[in-house]
Amino acid sequence: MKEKRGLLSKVGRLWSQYSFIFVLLIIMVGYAFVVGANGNTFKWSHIAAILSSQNTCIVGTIALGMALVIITGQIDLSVGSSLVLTTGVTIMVFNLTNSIPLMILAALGTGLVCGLINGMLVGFGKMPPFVVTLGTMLIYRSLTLSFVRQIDPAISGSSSSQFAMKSANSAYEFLRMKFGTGQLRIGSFSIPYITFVFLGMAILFILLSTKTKYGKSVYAVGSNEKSARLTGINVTWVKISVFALTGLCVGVASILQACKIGNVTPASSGVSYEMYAIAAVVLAGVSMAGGRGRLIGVIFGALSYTTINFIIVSIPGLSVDIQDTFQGLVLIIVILIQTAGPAIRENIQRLRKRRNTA
Amino acid sequence: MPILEMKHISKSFGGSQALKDVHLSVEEGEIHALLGENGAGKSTLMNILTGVLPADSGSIRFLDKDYPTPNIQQMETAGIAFVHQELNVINDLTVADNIFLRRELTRFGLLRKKEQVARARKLFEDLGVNMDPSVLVSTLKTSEKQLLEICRALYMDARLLILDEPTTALSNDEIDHLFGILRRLKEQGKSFIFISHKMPEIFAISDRYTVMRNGEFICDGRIDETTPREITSAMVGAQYMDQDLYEPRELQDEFLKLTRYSGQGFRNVDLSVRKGEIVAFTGLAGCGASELMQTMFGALPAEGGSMTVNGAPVRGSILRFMKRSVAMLPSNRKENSVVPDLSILENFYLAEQRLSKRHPFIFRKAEEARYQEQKELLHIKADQSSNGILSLSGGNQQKVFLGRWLNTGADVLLLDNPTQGVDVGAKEEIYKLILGFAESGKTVIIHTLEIPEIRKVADRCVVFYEGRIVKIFEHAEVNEHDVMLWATNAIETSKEATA
Repeated sequence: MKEKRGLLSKVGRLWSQYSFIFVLLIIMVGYAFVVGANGNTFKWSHIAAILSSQNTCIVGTIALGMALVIITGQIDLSVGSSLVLTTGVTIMVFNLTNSIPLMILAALGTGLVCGLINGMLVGFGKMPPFVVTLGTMLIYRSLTLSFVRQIDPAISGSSSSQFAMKSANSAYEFLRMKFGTGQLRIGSFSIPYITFVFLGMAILFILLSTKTKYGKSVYAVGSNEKSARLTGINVTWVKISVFALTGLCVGVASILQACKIGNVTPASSGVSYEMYAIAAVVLAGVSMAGGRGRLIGVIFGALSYTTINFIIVSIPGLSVDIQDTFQGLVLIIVILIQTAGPAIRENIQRLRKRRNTA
Repeated sequence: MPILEMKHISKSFGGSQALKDVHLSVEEGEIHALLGENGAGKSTLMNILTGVLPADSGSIRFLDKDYPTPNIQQMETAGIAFVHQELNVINDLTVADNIFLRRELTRFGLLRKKEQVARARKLFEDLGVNMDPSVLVSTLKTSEKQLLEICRALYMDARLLILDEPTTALSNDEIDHLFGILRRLKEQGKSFIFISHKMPEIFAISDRYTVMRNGEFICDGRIDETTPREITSAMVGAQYMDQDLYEPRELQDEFLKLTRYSGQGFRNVDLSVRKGEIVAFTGLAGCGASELMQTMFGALPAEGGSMTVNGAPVRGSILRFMKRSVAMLPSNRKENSVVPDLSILENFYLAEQRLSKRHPFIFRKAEEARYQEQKELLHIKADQSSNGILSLSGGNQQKVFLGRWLNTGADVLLLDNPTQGVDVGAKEEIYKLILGFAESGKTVIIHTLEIPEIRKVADRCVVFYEGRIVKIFEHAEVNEHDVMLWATNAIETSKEATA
């Protein structure tokens, strides 16, 4: 009995620390089952498709910054709109200059500015991040939208209210065909290049959050702001910095968007990405209350989220319209397990204790 | 005929025995002083009485009824009310709303605000309390909030009220007023358990007393048959009285200087502290000593004057003060020190990492080694350093936070109520550590309201009253009576009394 309890608690601890792996495994098994039911065999190409999906790479990259924001106990609702704005600028700079370094600079710079605006309003203005980023969410998208309708199609690259990479530019071939949609082949496996960008960013953020003093201060601010301040942490600066980092993530994501998709439509691209990013962070096991969560989970969270999409798409007879319902359900179930799990365990322990004393 | 009888109450938390075979009986219409040092088990006993904690064994009998497994609801309806030290009133509601909270007067589901205000006014009149029921609680003084909470309990027909250090935040006039009300209520047959550390008050208001020490029942009796000295030795116990850790030290040159230093809650403070000296700040809650200490660490803004450390002025952010080798262990550990989601090691290193942030990467092995050193030095009882900080007892947590600041190499240690919520044994250890810090040349300022604590460690004791220094005692002069007189600014009147 005693041994069994030890094992159970060990599994319990593993679950609470690495729930994101279990979640991904369960969802993957579900996907394999659906693929099998459709009469196909589950192959590497299925996984490669998940890896290269824009939901994994673009949303996943944004989710890395979002995770830091949420760990400090804040939220950023503007990321979908900033992605649209940043990608618009990125594509225009590319169309005008045909220069890859300038394009990257524009992407990171614009993303950073978008993030800094959020951060400063929250940090210096002492306003709640929910409201601030709700405001900038509206502003960033509407600015881009009104801009794209007025700009010369020669610069925006399209006449239909969108920004598109100019195919006449000499670097177009490399960016779109080689990098954006290309894959690295290792034997029979192939991994999309943009997946490496996401994974590279993820490794950077994992190191930042676990191996640096800055990372500890991010957790400390989210866990107990007052204590954090009294150890000399500049709480305002930490809060601003996580928004700035999210802006940089959006910048990287906008390069991926430009190279993989080739265009961005201010009216419809990136809609609800903030929600997808938050969902990926939650699936990663990061506490919405702040202070807790691992960045490595975001890789799994983003993959889980994409896989759910793939499952729904591959069930015949299910329309895409119902997709969000399932995503929402899975999200709620996972959170339920995360929050209710410890509470249930506590209740069981209390019952057991009462029985022992009685 | 007692209205409350608690017998053979025992309680343990994990391995440590918090209460061992404790008795308490309260008569109808009496004020019963429950006495003991912090950590003696008074709060645990009261929590058991009010149903917050279950007792491991023992019996509770209240108004001729047994309560084998009391819960909060039961004890409340039975007529026991707990007036907490940290006030449980809701600031954003009016006085009347607070009194009727959870038992609002309604008609057709709608609040009868006027009726509530009228009844509250009537209640205040009956009790002789001068308070407007229609104002917001946030506009009240602390003493009024205290009274409000007592009134609310009385409105709920409480027969026995537990008053947990009700006078800490009150001025002398307010205390007199409160005591007047308590005496009147006593005549109406209400009973009180009065928790306090202040001897003069205890002797002024109580009828009987019970003394606890280290979770054990020590003695009880009638107040008019004992003396403050007797009670104090019962509270403190012989072994601690004997254990005088303090020894005079050779002090070095002036190290810390405040010149006409002003800020929130204090003004024009002049003070010079020498290297290796331990100075205690004391005074009633709200006397400005805690605010001064926070300002001396950059946590609150200074509004005038200057502070110099080793001759150089210090001002600005907390980090600036830290760079000038000032450290502060804040009061209220849970709120101001603990970072609950981080491990022991991470909590320990948080402050040092600010000072060394030019090197952005963490070297876990080096950190672990330094932590183990401090752990040894401070006698921290902990398993793995990767465990959560909350897995430690209060005393050990506090030692980790002491270590947090020692590890920054600070020369000036500001300790705000360092033994708050720490058990008696760990307290002694912390005193030893503090004396050791001074011995090694650190300048220590400790803010505390406990006079025995001051007697144990301080070279000098600075008494504050309403944001000013009113008296500085040398170590040998420190005694509860005199410090209290100055802290309450009652010195003029009492000179006549003692003469």
